[in-house]
Amino acid sequence: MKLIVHVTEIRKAKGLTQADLAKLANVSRKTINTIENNVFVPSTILALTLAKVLDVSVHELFELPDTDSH
Amino acid sequence: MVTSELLSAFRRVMFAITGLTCLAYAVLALLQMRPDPFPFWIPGILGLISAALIFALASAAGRKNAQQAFDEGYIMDKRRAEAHAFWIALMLYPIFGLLMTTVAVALPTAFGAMGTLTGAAYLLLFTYYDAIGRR
Repeated sequence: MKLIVHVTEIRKAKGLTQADLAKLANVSRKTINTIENNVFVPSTILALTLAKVLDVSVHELFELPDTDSH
Repeated sequence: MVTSELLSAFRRVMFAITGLTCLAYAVLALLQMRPDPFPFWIPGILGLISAALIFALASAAGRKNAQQAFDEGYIMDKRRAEAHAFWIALMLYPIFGLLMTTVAVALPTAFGAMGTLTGAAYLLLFTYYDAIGRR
């Protein structure tokens, strides 16, 4: 199941570069890049940290795709 | 000033140099059919020097930059490289078993080549996985 990631939009809306966000979240710029490109699913701790530094909820950053249920 | 990006780049370069040296040792050992195509201690000593230099640069970078360079993205790449290198290392046994019976590769040569290929697999896979996520 692919995660829907809104980190890029929210980061840009806050006027931050990947490097700025990486520094605030204490991770590498590559980690931010791979999260934004849906290559890497962050840990709960990192997801909460990103939400905290971007001042949004985790659900605004990440969401599960709708699945058809019978 | 040593940044986390510089530290990551330096680590990638040192892993690549050590991995390529291991690969060169294995390829030359097989081409020359001898267990010591160049002094046997070079790949091992190079690995130790690389580890010491990365540690020294991480110390110079400071705790925050070192944490950024060795974050959970790094751990993901490391685990992925370890997992794939494990299977490559296992596959070397049947491959070299075949080489020893068909091409008459001597056991000491196979031993040297397999050992250095095992190291090269991890080091070069890590370098590749670390590099591709930076585009």
